[in-house]
Amino acid sequence: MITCEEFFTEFGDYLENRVSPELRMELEQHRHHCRECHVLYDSTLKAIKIVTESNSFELPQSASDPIIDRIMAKLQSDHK
Amino acid sequence: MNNLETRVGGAREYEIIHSLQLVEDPDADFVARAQDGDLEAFEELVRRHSRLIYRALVAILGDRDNAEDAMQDAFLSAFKHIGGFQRRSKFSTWLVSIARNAALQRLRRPKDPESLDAVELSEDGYFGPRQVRAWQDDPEQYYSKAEIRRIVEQAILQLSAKYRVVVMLRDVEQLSTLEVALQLGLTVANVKTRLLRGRLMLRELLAPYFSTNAERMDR
Repeated sequence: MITCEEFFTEFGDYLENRVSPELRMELEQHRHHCRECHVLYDSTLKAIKIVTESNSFELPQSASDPIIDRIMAKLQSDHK
Repeated sequence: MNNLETRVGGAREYEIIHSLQLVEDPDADFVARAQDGDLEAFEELVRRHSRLIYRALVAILGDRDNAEDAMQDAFLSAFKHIGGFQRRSKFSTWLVSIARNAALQRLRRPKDPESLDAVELSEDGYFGPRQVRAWQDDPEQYYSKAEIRRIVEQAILQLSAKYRVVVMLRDVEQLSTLEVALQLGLTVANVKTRLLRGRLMLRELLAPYFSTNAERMDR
């Protein structure tokens, strides 16, 4: 059985689904027996999902259009 | 070993990068026209990439207003230098490097610039998570989408620039780890380290809102 420290060493690749099937099985067995590592894994995945789906820092068209207009006006005046 | 290989890592990664570079750039036609001075083609490129560039700039600068000004600087600089773009990378990768330079010039102006390359002593050390409570399955039971977005934005802005920029490009803009490495001129290993630490820090910052015994927190 792997230790919590070993679990954490592989944690980044595990989150990204970049571990071998054998290692994945060991990590999942560890999670089954260790509540803290299970919660760490589950909550980090949920945090990533929340961040990804939040659509944060979207630049609304109402804000981007004037910026693009200013850029193009500057380029057109330099181009003349 | 060329510069790209040195920067990104070992031979296997170099092969992946090489194949990535061979993928046709969807911007190629517009880039060619813009290189001939076609402003309409350049405007199309600006529209296609304004969201990516804005997010990269917010990530580096940590400020929306500053990012809007830097976005203008970045696109003006891109047009000025587009003749020198030799298509060895995708146009979007080149554009992010221009935006990054525009942002770094702005960061040099304050008294205490927040360096993207600053190395913290604990970079490779164990980051012990402090919050071990389980999380709710459906955050939208407790918060509206607008509230969640505000909570997430506030948390991301609390990260230091070196973590913020990696999290923004990987988890918000959803680029691959390799693309993030190429766009920021970092090694893949470095991106992975920063991404994990950034994600764990975000988890700590978001836990008061989303863990099972969190009370709804009004913003």
